Amino acid sequence: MKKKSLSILLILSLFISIFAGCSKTQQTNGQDNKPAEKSGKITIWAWDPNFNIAIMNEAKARYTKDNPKVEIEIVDMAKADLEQKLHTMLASGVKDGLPDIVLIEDYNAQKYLKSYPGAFADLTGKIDHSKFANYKVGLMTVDGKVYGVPFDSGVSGFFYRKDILEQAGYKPEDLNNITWDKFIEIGKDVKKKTGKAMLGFGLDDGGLMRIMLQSAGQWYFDKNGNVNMSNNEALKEAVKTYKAIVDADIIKKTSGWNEWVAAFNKGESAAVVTGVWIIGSIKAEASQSGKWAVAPTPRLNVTGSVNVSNLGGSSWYVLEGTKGKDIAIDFLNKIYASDNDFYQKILVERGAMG
Amino acid sequence: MQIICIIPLCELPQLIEVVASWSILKAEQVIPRSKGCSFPRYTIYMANFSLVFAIIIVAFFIYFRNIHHPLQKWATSIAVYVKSEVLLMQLRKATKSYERSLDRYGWLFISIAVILLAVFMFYPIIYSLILSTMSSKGIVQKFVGLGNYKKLIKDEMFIKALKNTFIFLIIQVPIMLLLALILAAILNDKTIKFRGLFRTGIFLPAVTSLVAYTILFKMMFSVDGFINLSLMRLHIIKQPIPWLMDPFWAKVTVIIAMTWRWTGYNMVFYLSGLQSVPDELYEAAEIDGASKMQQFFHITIPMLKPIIVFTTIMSTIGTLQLFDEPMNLSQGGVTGATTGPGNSLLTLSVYIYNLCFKYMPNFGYAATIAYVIVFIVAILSFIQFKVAGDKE
Repeated sequence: MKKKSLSILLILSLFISIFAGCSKTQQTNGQDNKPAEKSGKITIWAWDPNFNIAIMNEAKARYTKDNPKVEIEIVDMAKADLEQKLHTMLASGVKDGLPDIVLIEDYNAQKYLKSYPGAFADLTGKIDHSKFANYKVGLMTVDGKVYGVPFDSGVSGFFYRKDILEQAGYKPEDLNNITWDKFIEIGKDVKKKTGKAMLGFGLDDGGLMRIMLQSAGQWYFDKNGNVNMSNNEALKEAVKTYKAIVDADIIKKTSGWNEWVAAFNKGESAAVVTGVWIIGSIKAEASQSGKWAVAPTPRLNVTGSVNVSNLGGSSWYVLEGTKGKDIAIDFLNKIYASDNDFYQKILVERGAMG
Repeated sequence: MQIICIIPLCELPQLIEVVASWSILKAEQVIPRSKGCSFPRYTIYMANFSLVFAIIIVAFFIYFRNIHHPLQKWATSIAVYVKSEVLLMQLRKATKSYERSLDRYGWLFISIAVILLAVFMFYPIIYSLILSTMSSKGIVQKFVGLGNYKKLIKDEMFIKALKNTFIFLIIQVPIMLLLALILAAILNDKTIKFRGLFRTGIFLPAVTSLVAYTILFKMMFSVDGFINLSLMRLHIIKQPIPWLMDPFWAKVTVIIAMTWRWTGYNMVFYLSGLQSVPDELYEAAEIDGASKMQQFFHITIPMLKPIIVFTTIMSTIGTLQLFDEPMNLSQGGVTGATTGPGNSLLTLSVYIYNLCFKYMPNFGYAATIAYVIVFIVAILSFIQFKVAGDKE
């Protein structure tokens, strides 16, 4: 009896898997038959519902108004998951589950472009790249071919709580174009007078280091891609500043993104120095509405360091060989490469700098 | 619709295992029974059916994942071959003696398992060995021979990962196994009330999801988390302990978490081992005046030796593959540059993951490290067998 039921179960499960296989073929066949002309479906992968997804939804609304036959599916997943999924799929050579458009962080763009040649669509000449910031285009160029559509940049700023800094005796003018040394001094005053930390600070987070390095026009690598560490004055100064910040006891130690955001959302820290994309998370705490202001990023105490820097930022890429490739390019071209009104709107609403 | 497609795909290995083990079971049944008496017809049909089906399924999935792979051709040609062989055998059966065909059928039944093993185990093992001689950037590969192995020796990150893994191994495994042994010895006592309840309670962590419990631990061990608050309220500590922000304490956290998760699991092995230890031994020892301690060290431990060796080896392998806990405890930084503070949670498996998915994807180098882990496991298991001194 037991044996019989086992074999029945077995056969049943075999059949189920076969039917699953069949249904999949039908699905793909269905897509084949559809004409490719301005009607069809494109899939987009991105992360951060407060920022990228919200902006993509806005873009989708604008595009589908003119092209009602186009269906756009926006898939929201965590950034790490997206990157891993993209890696496994590209490495296996499977094209089935891939999206038509994918968001890739600028730091990772070259990694994908160079690791999977032929996987991304060459957009040279299809998009007018001269309208975009030069550095963004450079990040997505390999051997003279441009592969993406620039999206947000990570212009950094010194975001602070006006009320807390006022309590510590600082006016907005005092915070303009300061150095990190001055920043630490201010932090000590804030700690002494209000008891609050100046920054939420993840000890394993290299974000601030990148901001500091870039404010001096330096990086871990030089222009030719060689490691640039031993004689890197900016890096030395940045490491010293890191230590000074921790030693001055002006930070609230956090571990991970959520605790870091919670530090300023709960009002435990008075400031945050990071990319402009943080505005979405600052705005998420309604009770602090109107209490925030922004000043230029602090600079390093080395020659050549300025009060401007960058952290993060990402761009859209179209996958080669997917069914919705042409629509995807048209979509990015119409909205992200032409619509100035769109950029105005997302800047005001979400703090996105295109 | 996609979900339906994915589910059987994920369960394919288990499915095939079921098919394979079932047909082996059949083979074992058939061979002795059919000696001299008539061969049950349905058995041939069923085995035949399951075999061909298993292979068709393999081919099916390879086909629908659209991998243009030599495997697909393999599977199809094997299926055709096996089918013709079976038909031939059925023809011969009519003329020749059973004895020969029995032998052949035995091989035939076993061949399912062998084929599946070859496709899903030997092929990846050999392929990753080939891969370990390549240096790759995604799909761009370059043959480097033993270059990857040479690079390993000088790779500081690898050495750091190796050190971390061994620290976990040397500290966590003995603590956990000793604890499990003590708990098992206590809970084996028939005079204890609510024995079942305690046993279940201690075993329960072993059924929780690795990711879920790690995230829970991360919350509990954060600076103003439950553990720090309780310890401060109880006046055991004055300052909160920076559990996950200090290289030392981060390791302690992982060790606590792993001990919580795996002690009950190992305890169950000891408990089942203790069932085969005769009560008379303890009785006799008691009459001779041996204390409970002496009983534990001179009866329980020697009697459980084979199981202790088994759990040690299993835990060693598990620790060398440690991934979920360090990965999740350190995850979530804005630009999480390291795994844990100062890379204190970087284990070999996490390093493999980083090489494949975080850095420029170098699958060749990652395969090399995977091979090094296999090598270490082999050596450690060998040493453990020797030290345990099993004469057999």
